Amino acid sequence: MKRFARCLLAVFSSLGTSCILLVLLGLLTWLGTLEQTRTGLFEVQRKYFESFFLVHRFGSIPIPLPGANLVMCLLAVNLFVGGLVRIRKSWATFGIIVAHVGIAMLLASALVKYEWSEDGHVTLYEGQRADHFESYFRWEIALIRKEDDGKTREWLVPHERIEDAQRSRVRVSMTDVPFELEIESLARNCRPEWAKDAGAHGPIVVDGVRLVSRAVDARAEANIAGACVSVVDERDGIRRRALLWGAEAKPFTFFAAGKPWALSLRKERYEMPFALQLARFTKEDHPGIDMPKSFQSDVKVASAGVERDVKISMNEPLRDGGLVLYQASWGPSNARPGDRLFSTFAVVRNPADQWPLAACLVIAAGLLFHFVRKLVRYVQLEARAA
Amino acid sequence: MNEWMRHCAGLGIAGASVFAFGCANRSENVVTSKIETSRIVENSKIDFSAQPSHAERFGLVASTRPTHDPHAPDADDSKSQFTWNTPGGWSELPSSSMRVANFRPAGDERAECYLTMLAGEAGGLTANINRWRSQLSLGGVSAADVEQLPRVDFFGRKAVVVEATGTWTGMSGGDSKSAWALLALALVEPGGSVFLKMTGPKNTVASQREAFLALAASFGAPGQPAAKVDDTAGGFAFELPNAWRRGPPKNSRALSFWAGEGEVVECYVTVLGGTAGGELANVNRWRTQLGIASVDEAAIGVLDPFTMLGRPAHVVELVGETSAIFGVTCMGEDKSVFVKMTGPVELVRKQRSAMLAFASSLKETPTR
Amino acid sequence: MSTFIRQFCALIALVLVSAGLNARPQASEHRTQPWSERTLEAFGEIPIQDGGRIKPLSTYASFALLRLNGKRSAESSTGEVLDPVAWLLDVTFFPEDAALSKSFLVSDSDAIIAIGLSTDGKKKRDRWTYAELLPGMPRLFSLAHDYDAIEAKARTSIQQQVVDLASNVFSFMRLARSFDWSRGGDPSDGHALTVIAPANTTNVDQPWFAPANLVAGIGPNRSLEPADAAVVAEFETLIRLRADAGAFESTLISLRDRLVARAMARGEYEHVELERAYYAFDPIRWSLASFIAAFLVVSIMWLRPRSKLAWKSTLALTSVGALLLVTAIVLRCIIRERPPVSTLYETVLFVTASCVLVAVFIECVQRSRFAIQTAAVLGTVGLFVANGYETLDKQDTMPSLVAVLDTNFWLATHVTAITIGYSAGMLAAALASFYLLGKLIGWKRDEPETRRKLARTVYGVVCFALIFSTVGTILGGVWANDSWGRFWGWDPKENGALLIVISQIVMLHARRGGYLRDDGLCMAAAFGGTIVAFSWWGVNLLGVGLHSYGFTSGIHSALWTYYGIQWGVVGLGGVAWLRERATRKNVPVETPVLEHRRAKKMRAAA
Repeated sequence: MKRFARCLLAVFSSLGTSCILLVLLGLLTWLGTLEQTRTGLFEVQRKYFESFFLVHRFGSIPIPLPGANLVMCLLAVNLFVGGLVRIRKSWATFGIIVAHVGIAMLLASALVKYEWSEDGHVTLYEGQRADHFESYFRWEIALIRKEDDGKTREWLVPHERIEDAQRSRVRVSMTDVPFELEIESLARNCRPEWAKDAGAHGPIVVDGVRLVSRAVDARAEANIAGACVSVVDERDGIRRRALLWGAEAKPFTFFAAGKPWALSLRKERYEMPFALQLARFTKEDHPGIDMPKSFQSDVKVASAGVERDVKISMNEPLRDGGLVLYQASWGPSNARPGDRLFSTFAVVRNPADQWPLAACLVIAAGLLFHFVRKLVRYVQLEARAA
Repeated sequence: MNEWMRHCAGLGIAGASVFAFGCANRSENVVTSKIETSRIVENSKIDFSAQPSHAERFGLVASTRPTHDPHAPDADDSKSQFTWNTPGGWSELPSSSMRVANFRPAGDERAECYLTMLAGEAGGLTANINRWRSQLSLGGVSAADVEQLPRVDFFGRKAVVVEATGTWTGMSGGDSKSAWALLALALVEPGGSVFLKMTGPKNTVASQREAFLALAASFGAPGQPAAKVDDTAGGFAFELPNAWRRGPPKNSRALSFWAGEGEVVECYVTVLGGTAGGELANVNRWRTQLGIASVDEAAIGVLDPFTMLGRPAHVVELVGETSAIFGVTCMGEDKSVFVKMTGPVELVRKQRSAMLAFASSLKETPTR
Repeated sequence: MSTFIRQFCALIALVLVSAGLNARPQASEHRTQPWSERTLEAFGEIPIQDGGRIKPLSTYASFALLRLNGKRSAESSTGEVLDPVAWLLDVTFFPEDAALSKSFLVSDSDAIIAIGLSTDGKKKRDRWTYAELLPGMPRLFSLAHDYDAIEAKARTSIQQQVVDLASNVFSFMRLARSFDWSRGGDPSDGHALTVIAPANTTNVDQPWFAPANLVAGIGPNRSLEPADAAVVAEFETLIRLRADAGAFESTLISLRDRLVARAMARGEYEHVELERAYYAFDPIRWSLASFIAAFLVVSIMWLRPRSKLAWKSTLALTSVGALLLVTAIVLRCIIRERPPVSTLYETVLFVTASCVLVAVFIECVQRSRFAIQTAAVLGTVGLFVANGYETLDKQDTMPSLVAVLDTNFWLATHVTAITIGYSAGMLAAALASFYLLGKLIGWKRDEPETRRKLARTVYGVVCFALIFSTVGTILGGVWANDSWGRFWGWDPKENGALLIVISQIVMLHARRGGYLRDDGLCMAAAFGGTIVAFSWWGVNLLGVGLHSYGFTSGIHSALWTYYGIQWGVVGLGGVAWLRERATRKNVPVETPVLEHRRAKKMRAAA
């Protein structure tokens, strides 16, 4: 047993392992880059860079490979055991150890971002106000009940269950809700159509309309999901069926158990600790050509009754309440002078926001120390030999 | 080294089997789930009493109040999402990368009509017109001649109407047809050009002229219902003053008119959510459009009072160097309504009383 | 329909189209003598607002002609060789003469056949005049209109050429119509020469006007400001006096003074003169000449390896070349008020300069001669690539930047670090290739120490590259995080940078662990050159992701040529290594680590 442990330690701290793992990571990076020309970034990211295992097709030959997630986990272990614990400690290796610490910080910030961050966007027309931001890719189904005091209560079916619905039916029960929801089918990208000829097969037709699946768009944000959902009420045996579509103008409203309810398929929403209102958006082009020179949004940030004016522009985000808001884009793209414009902010909640910069400085310091020291000794050696 | 490899292999096999086991656990028919938590939301704008049909929810029919949806998918793929009203008797043909919309007018095999969209100016207006003319074996025209051609509204902008008759030689100059005609709309702008072109035997083109122009007027962008020339005004009832006509529909405008002769003075009604940035901001925006200096809050206080839609409103009269804006601002908590008339100074002045009469006659119709 | 009638109609079209080009009311005059020096100077100094920045008309003319003609000169009908400013003067003031100058380069005459013209008397790749192309123009525009609808990546070479030719002809026509308004033509055309700054405002975001813009603004209720009217009047005088060389010159000088004064009043004329001086002096051309000279001397060094004179002259010429190149980069920084690297063209200049400077430094420390030879080669190749790219790209090499790039801090830190990383990577590859080829041909066979030294130099350069590549890559992530909220997006350009970092880390770890020794390291470093090239150029050709702002199609073949050559060198290195192993069995080979320990033991024993 002790021999096995020692062997394991030898494997994980060896330079050979580092080389193999790094080469694998390089291979995955290269394959993922080439694949992007065909598939689109979001899919490639999921398949190659956020997975533990994948099968890459070279023509028709399947090649199994570990995913980048797995490789990076192993590299982290290798870095820790070989690069920090077992490495010989002297001035000669001091710089290397510092650099390795920096890389460990980088890997840690990647982990934190992957597990504990949220990102999305909020789009506002001039004058509009919002207190939540939305995901780019993740959907949720919201069951909304009207409360007596004019507010509403929401139960949210998370993205993961919606993904499950692609393969099987999903039955959701919710506390305080006297019926169940069944998601019968889900399409990742679809458009509504009149069901002129109601075929026996094909997408379910409700109310003379059906949702027709389309090929998943390489630009992930362009995909509009659609679901067929049934409200299953055991007590009155009624099964109310509805189609929900990601770009619908209004939610599906119904009455059940004596109360008004609504169902909506929408992008996942995350609360912001403040309310954001867009006062004005200005875009400047370079004079005489159609190239943007600067974008700037004048916004009002209101929290706890206090309102303040802030400018958000390209390269100058707003940091508040653990969130960072960036000027991402604007529209409509065919707007003419005098038309009302909207501004889109990318919103990110990432505890590890500034860690990479710190990691960079640490790595730079370590490498510089190590190589400058080597260079100086080399130059001295050459001078003596000359 | 040998041992090293043996242990590596062992680990690999163990890992693979764990993975395979995890994979196998996938085939289920129903996934159940329980949601434990819920949350209260303060300002939900859902109208629980309305029971919109699926078609209305998905935008397949016009809803009475077109909604801004900044989250609507931005149509890069805009070509396939255009809407239009195919004229009666015309058949739709499959579209292609070049022909965004493709028709067979009045079932005549020899005629065709299609819509093309190109980036940029596509060689320029005159060049394209002359190209079409050369296809009909006609000589070219000059830019000055093109300036004189009539224009109609197309996609909310002014497009040139091109008509010509000649002998068709087409692209390759092979088969030729005499007594052939062309009727086209050309909209050439630096931001992009659109051409709607109908060619065919002279008689067919002549007989389908009205249908062609109606088709052109019906082109609309996604989400916005294809413009219909009927009288369901965007959520309002009103009395239309003398010599006012309905104007080109537009995304942000509930109602749009030409006030008076020709198409010089525009008057339109806009409905914005909330206070739309405030009255001051909107007035200053109008002032900026005219090129006059902005004012501060005090100036708002001295605007003439007015009543519109049963609520207090203000009359705003702004005069620039060559144009003027005459408007009514009606601010509210949930929405604000603006009536704005703009055009050359003298002509706007002439329509003042008509505009005020129109504004006082505005009534909101309840949503269906 | 008979051919005769079709040709007759085509002739009518021809006449009508060319009528738009020629002077209508007056008889056409021709230029009788070459433009005088002072005229050319005065015209070149006029500032023009183009591409969002203020530049001298000479720069504008230079790039316009380069785009149309593939070189910065044009041959007129009288055999006179026109420089860009003279060409532009012809096009705007004597369009009938310019129509007979060879202004259009067509690389494949099949494009000419496609538009229905005959290629008699012309070579496959030849230059054409506007008049020669005129009969084919309706078809040219028609075809270009159709081909334009095809996605750029899917077009064939001929289709792309037709589209480009149409665009070039269109640009020519716009310039030629600049003064049509004075001949009774339409002022709604010919807005290319935006040389008139707005009169009453110092707002630098306002677009400038061409004379035609101002004239178009005159109407029944609108008249020009007195200052603007004076400018228009002066233009009219200039046009009227075009055939009188002396009067033209003095009026042009006066007009130039007026326009320059306007620009100065707005503070927009600051660097225009410096830019003129930069292009006039053309330090890059002199730098290339220096490097070529150094390269020639290098060949002498090979014939006479002990010659100290050859070594010194190579060193001197290379240093002069490097100095001139650095001067060019610094001047460009001043003119654009930006850090040295902001476009793909500038990366080439910077990489060449860093490679040469680092190699010169190595030579001064080591004096082993291989570094300076590599420097001369890299300098020459680098500047050839720069010139080639400029001709392929056909655009102003000092453009305005899109909003996200327009930040001096990140351009100075991230972009500079990455570019230094590229140059170190390429230098390592070059030195490693030197080693591998040398090994193949038996260079310094009896001097293993020199070979060892070269391998160690390669190692040193890889270390240097690693620092800058790693820091640059991470800074790129930090910049992306500050701009868009995501540190790493697996974007192709980011992936390319990561590949470079990974390859360099692998090389160092493998060397440390004894898996790669001198030969292996050099083979890996040479291969690393292709990884750098992929990251630098290859990812732009993929056409995906946030970073594809450098799409150029002619680069594709050059890149694959480089890949082929570099892989060939690696392969040959492998052959040499196998050959050596076969003849040198059972000799214990030492890794650096073992060697170090043995040396320590020996020192302890001693």
